[in-house]
Amino acid sequence: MTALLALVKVQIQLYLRNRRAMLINVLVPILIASFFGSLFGGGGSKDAPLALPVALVDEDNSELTQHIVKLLTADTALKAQTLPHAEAEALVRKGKLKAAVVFTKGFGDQASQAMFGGEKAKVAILYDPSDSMALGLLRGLLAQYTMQEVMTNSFTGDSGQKRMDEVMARVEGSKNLAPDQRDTLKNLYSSVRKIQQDFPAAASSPSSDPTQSAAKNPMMSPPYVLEEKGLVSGTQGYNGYAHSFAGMGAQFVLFMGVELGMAILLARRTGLWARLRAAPLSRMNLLASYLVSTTIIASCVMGVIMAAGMLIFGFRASGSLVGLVLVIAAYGFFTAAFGLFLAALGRSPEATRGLSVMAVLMMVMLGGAWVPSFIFPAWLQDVTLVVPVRWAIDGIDAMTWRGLDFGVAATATAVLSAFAVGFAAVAWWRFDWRE
Amino acid sequence: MLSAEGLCKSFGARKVVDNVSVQLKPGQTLGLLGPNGAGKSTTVAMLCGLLPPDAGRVLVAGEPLAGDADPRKRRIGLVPQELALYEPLSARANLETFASLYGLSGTTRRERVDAALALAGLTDRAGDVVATYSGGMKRRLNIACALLHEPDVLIFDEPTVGVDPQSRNAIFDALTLLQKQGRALLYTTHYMEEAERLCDRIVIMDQGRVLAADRLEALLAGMKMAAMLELRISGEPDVAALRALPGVLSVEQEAERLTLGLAHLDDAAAALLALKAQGVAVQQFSTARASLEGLFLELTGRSLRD
Repeated sequence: MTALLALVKVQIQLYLRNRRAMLINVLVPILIASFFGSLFGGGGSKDAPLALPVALVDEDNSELTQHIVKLLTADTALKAQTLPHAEAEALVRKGKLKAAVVFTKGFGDQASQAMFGGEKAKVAILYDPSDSMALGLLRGLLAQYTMQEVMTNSFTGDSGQKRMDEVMARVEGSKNLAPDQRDTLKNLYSSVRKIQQDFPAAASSPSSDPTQSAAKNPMMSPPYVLEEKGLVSGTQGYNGYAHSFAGMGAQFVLFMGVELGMAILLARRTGLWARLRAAPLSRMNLLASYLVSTTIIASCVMGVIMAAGMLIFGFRASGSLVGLVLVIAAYGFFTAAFGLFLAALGRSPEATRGLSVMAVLMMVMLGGAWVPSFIFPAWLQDVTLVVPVRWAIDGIDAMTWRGLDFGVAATATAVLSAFAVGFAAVAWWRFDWRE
Repeated sequence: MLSAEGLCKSFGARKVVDNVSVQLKPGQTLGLLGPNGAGKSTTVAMLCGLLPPDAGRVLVAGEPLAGDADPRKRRIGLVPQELALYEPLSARANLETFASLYGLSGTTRRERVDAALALAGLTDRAGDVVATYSGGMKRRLNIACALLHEPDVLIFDEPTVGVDPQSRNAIFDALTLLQKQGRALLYTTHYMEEAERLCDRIVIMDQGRVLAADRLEALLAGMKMAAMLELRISGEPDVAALRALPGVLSVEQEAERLTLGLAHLDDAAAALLALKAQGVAVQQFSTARASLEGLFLELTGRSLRD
C-alpha cells in the first residue's frame, strides 16, 4: 500500500508541477466552452425561446394579409419586420434574415374564394438554405394564422357576407349541379350567413386586433389552445453553457488520458519503468497506481471546469449534485482506463499519439461534445450510445440543465464504469511486460 | 549472493539468452562484457526479476526469485542505463518515492534519503528540481536512488553509454566508493577498458552465450595471444599469407587499419618483414599487451566494436 500511495502521489505531483500544461487543460476548455456555449443558446431562458429573424412582404396589402402580418409579427417565435420584396430577398441572400414570407397581389381575395372552390392564392417563402429548420417553423405558423384569418374572413363580418352573396349567386347559376345538390349547398350557405349575422364584424373592423379575433369568434378559432412548456425537470431551460462546458471538459480530459498512455510509453523508453519494475511491486499495483492517479486528476480537472462554468455563466446542478459528482468521477475512471489501453496497445509514443488524438476527436464528436446529440439524426442518436463520451455528456446534462433525478446519473455512472473496466481489462490482457 | 543457473530467453523464434550462468559473491565486482546484442541487458532483466526466464533460475542468497512482488527483490538494486528519474521533482522527492517502493517510511525513510543525498553529494541541493542539475549530478542521483533500500547487490546496466566525460567520472567515482564499502556489484558494458579497470571477475558474452568467465588475470593468462600489433598501412596485404606466418594467431583488416594477434611480441618483426615483401607500406605501427579486446577477437574472430 505504501508503494501504491507513493506512486499515486508522485503522478499527482508531476501533474501539479507542470503548471503550463495544467493551465492549458483547464483554461482552454473554459474559453472554447464559453464560445460554443454562446453559439448554442447561451444561458437560455425559460420565458422566451430564440426568435427567428424573418421579413414579411405584403404586396397584396389587403385586410386579410394585414391581419396575418400582425399575427406573425406578434408571435414570439419570430422576430418579424415588414420590408419591400427586393430588400427582404437581399437580406435573406446575405444570411441576415432566415426567411421572408411574400404575400402576392390578390392573395386576400383568392384565399377567401379558394375556401369555396375558387383559384388558390399564392404565398412564397424565401429562405436561407443553411437553416432548413426555419422553413418548417415558418410553414407551420403561416398555415395556422392564414387558416384562422381566412376562416374568420370568410364566415364573419361584411367581407364574409359579401363573399357569401357571391357564392350563393354562383350556386344559383350553376348548370353543373343537380337540383338536390343545389338545395343542399344553399341550405349550408344559409346556415353560414346566419352565423355571419350572429358574429358580426369582429374580423372586418379595420381597427380590430387580429390577435384577439379568435377569442371573440370562438367558432372560427383553432380547435385547441396551445400551452408551451420546455420539457426539463429543473427550474432552468436548456443551457448552452452547461452543455458546452460538459463537452469541452470531456474532450480535454480525454486528451489527458492520451497523455497518460504516452507517459507510460515514455517511462518505458527512459528506464524509469525498469526502475519501478525492479521494486517488489506487483503488476496490478503498478498499473493501478496509474489508474488511480489519473482518475483523481481527470475527475478534479473536469470538476474544476464545470465549477468554473457554473461560476461564470450561472448554470447549476439542477438535478442531483451527488449524481453530477459520480458521473464526473466515472468519466475520470474511464479516461484513466483509456490511457492505460493506449499504453498497452501502443508501440511508440510518436506512433500512438497521432492515432490516439484521432480516436479522441471521433469519440467526442460522436459523443455530442461539440454539438448536442439531440441535434443528431435519430439513427445516429441510437448508434452513438456505444460511445462512452455520449454517456458522460448526457449524464452531466441530465444533472445540470435537464435537472433529472439521481437515477439517470446512476445509469450513466454504471455504463461509464463498465466501459472503464472493459478498457482496463483489455489493457491488462494486452500489456507488454517484456523489458 | 546472486547467481543464475542456465538462463534461457527467446523472443519469438530468436534466442536472445542461451544457457547463461553467472555467480556474484559478496564484495565482488562482476563484469558482464559483450558487444551490443550479446544478451547482456536481457540477462540483467532476468537477474532483476523484470523478465521471467524461459528456462533456468535466478537465486538471491540461495533462494529462487519468484514473481514481481517477491520481497527478495529488496536485496537487489538496479541502476538503469538511462536516467530513471522524475526530472520535474526535487532530488528529495525522487528519493522518497523510490524509498517508498521498497516499503520504507517514517524515520527510516528520512534517514536513508539523507544518507543517499550525502553519498551523492547533493545535500545542499536536495530541494532543487532535478531538471536543473548537471549531467554528473543526475548520474550520481540515479545511482543513489538504487541504494536507498541498502541492497546486497547493485546492478549497473551499461551506465556509461552515451554519457559525457563528467558524468562518466561521476559514475566511476561512485563505483569506486561502493567497492570500498565492500558491496557486490554487477557491471555490464561493451567497453573492455571499463571492465578491465573496474571488475575483478569477468563474463564474456556473445550472441546470447557465455564464451568465457573467470578472473581478469586468469582470462588473460589463458590467451594464446600474448600481444597485438596494430598498423596503419597503404596497399592491399595478402591476409592469408599473413595468417600462415608462425606466431600470427589472427589478422583483422578494417580499411587501412590492420590488427594482428601474436603469440609472442617477437613475432611482430616477421609480420613487418612479410608486409614489406608484399609491397605494403607501413605508415605507423604500435604493439600492446594482450587484452580483453584480444581475447574477444580470439574467441569470436570479431572485434568487440563490431
